[in-house]
Amino acid sequence: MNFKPDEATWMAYVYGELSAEEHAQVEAYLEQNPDQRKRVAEWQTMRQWLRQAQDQEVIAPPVLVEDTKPSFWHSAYWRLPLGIAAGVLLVLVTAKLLQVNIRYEARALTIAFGETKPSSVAVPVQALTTEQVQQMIDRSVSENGRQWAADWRQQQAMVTRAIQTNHATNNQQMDELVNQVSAASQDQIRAFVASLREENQRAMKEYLTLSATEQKLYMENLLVDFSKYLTEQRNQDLALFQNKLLTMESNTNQFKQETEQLLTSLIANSGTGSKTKLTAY
Amino acid sequence: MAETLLDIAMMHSDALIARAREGDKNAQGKLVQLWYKRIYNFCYKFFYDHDQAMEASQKAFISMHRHMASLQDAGRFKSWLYTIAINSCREEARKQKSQRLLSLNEMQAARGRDTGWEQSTHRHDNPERQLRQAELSDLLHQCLHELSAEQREVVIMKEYEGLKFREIAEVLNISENTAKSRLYYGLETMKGILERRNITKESIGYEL
Repeated sequence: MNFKPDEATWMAYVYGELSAEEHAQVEAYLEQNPDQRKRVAEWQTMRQWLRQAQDQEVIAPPVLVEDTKPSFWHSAYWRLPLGIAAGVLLVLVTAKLLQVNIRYEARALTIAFGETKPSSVAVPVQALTTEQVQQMIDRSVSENGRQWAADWRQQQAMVTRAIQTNHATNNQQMDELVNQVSAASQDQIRAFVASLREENQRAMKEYLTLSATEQKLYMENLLVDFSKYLTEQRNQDLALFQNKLLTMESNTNQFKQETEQLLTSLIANSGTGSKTKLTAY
Repeated sequence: MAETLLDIAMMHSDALIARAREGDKNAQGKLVQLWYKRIYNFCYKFFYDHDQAMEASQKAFISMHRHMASLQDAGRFKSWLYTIAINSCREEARKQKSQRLLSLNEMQAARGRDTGWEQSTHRHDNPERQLRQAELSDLLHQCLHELSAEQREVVIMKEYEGLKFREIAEVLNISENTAKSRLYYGLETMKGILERRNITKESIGYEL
């Protein structure tokens, strides 16, 4: 037989993780080489030594669950549109506060804050005949400008309103979402507590049934043993009685026999006695 | 492994693992409660230092939370968890090595000299068996720590955590035969360490 266990096989043998076939091989090898048993024994001793290193008692710290999801407002999805909306709003608010007035008048673009001063651009005065035409043009231009400004204001108001409503609906949705989330977490806690309670209850019940059945079994065994003991005791007592009675009987018989013998000997003696007496006289 | 209630609960935690994998925070918390003692003790034997063991085990569980979803097979949970734990231990050891001026081995050697066994033969008369047991336990922790990290890992996993060779191989990403052979040399080294420290049944006066 040329099977010789290597390090790995020895370890698997010592820790009982060999297949039945390999195990048998190692056993056979040990039969043939008894000196190797010492090595195995040494490993077993080492394992016993190692087992002296006991576990340290430790209490698990509270669970630290960090939320890895970024918060809703910081998500990239929302950042851009919100930024743009905020920018537009800022521009509009500043425009409103500073009363920006932009107009194109008399061939000149005027951007003014607050009251608009009449344009100081000199209009070249033409001949008297063109003056009227000029005035007409001026009037129509200023009319246009006013109309344009009115339109502008109206549109500005509309945009502001649209943004406000948009903002309001967003806020509402957000609130709903937050509510939903908080409600969900409450539900989770409740479900957790319920499941905990249920599990505890079940464990207790199982434990009680288990202990009850065990106790019952134990009591039954106890009673059976006790009754066995009683029967045994009674049998022994009966045997004792019988024995005693038998002894008494035999004693009586013996006594009877002895008495009989005594009587016969007495009778015999008295017979001879009388005979001797008879002969003596 | 001793069959305590905790062990039984650990053996039958498939449902818990499944729930934890789906992101159930409660189940994850329960898993931590179940496994904390084992993982902490694994780390403690690795470092022979409470603080480092606490650090490493907590990091291991944080990592477990993060990567719970990536666990493929609930049956592999044990080896998966130990893989995380060993990685956490190694990382912690690396960090400590770069932070401390004294190397761990030197510190360990110094600590070993302080509590040299030779000077404490009076322990024989100590009537407090429990105290002696605790001291012996501590002494063996010291001896374990003298093993090289490679051997120590295998010895701890096999002897104290009760992992199968197959599982150890999986955790360390080595072949089963390598795991067995590391254990073999680990035990041999351990024998040398015990001899050097004169730890025998006679000197301890403690029946195993």
